[in-house]
Amino acid sequence: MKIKCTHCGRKFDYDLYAGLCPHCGVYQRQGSSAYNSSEAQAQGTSSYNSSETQAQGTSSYNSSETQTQPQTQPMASHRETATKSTSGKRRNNWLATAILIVILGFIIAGPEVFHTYQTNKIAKTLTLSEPVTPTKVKPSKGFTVSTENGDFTVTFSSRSTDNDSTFETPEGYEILTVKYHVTVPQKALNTFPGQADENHLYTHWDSDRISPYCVTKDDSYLKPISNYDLSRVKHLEYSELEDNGTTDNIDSQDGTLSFLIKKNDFKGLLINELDPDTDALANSYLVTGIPKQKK
Amino acid sequence: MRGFSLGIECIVKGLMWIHRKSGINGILVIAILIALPCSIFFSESSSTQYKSGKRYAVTPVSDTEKVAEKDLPASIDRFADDYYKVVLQINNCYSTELPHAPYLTLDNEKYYASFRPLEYYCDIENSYDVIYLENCIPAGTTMSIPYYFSGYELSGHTLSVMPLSDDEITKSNSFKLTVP
Repeated sequence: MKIKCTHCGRKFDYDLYAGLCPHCGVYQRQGSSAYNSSEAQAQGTSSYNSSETQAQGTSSYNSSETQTQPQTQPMASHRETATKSTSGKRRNNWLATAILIVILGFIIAGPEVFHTYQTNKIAKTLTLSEPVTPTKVKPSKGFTVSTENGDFTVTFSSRSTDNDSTFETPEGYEILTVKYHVTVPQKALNTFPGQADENHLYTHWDSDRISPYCVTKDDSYLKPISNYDLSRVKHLEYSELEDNGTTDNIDSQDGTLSFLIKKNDFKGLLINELDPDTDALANSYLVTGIPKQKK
Repeated sequence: MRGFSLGIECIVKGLMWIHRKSGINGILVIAILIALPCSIFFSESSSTQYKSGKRYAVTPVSDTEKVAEKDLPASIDRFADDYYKVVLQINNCYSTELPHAPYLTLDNEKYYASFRPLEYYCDIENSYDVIYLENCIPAGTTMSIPYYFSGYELSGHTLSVMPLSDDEITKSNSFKLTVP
């Protein structure tokens, strides 16, 4: 609030300079005539008297004593206004604090709640109501896997015992290899012409969707020998395994799956197919009657 | 150590300065600015697949029978006086394979029993290490696995058995075994 100095007559901001005139250095106390007249101009009311005792060494303060009674009312109203604005400010502060606390609570608890919700949602999607009865298929007919590049057909031609002694099979066990063939649809060959010359499937064939297992005569399920073990035991690089089709999944046009199995214990293959969007079990096939490879 | 103390002192002074200037709201704003990237990091690093757990059901499909020590498979631990066998059916009602037969434990600590499933490679798993031997129960399949268990003073008692896994599966998969 700007007031006029009673000593030098210049205007200055009372609040900024705490009542001390920056030009002449005379202090204009609250309740002085200069202050009151400026207050009246600002509020459009008559000036008021402060009834406080005079400060030492300021002549401008003396005139405040002659002011009449009604001038105490603006002071009181000023105090009320100040109180109201202070309480209003306090209320706003509390509101802001409450809002900030709520936001902080959301930030801390939100991810955990969302994570739990996502986990339960995924679990519900992946949970099966009952065990699945696999579809029995003949090895020559196989099964079909649908992709955006067409339908891939997987067939099985023969099975044989791996006579490679590098595996050092334990007593009573053998390494059984099963040969398979994947027919690539024309649409995929048109999109990826290089696939015709490449044994490893890369044309939108997601081998992670397919899980092959060996089924034994007592209905145990065995996983294929892993790429890591094949590479280590046969001393082949992963790229060489892919070129040969000797991997732990159905990911080549012509390939083999290898299993460590008890002698004469082979019954068939179980192939599980997952839905590419939800990862839920979509199809299950049981391939039996795979013929022995003729020597 | 002195640097650590200085660091703490600077942080406290900074917080006090913020509190002087803008009150508790300033502290809350600082807390929000710190918590926001932490929560983003948490949500990105958490894996929902791991937390999904595995859903399977375990039920006994045979009576519990006493087994002589000489008839026990070689892979079964021999530490007690009583040996028993029970065949359990495991239904994998989930879209991911179980890496092995469920581990079992007793619901209460009144008795002690050690359960061992007789899986396919049990007879060679301790002696053969050329390739990794992996038992599994594929998604959506049912397998019957003989479990051998041994313990002290189990005869004549009813055991409350549960899979040693997360609580959700444990509560729904408890079953009773009457020991002859």
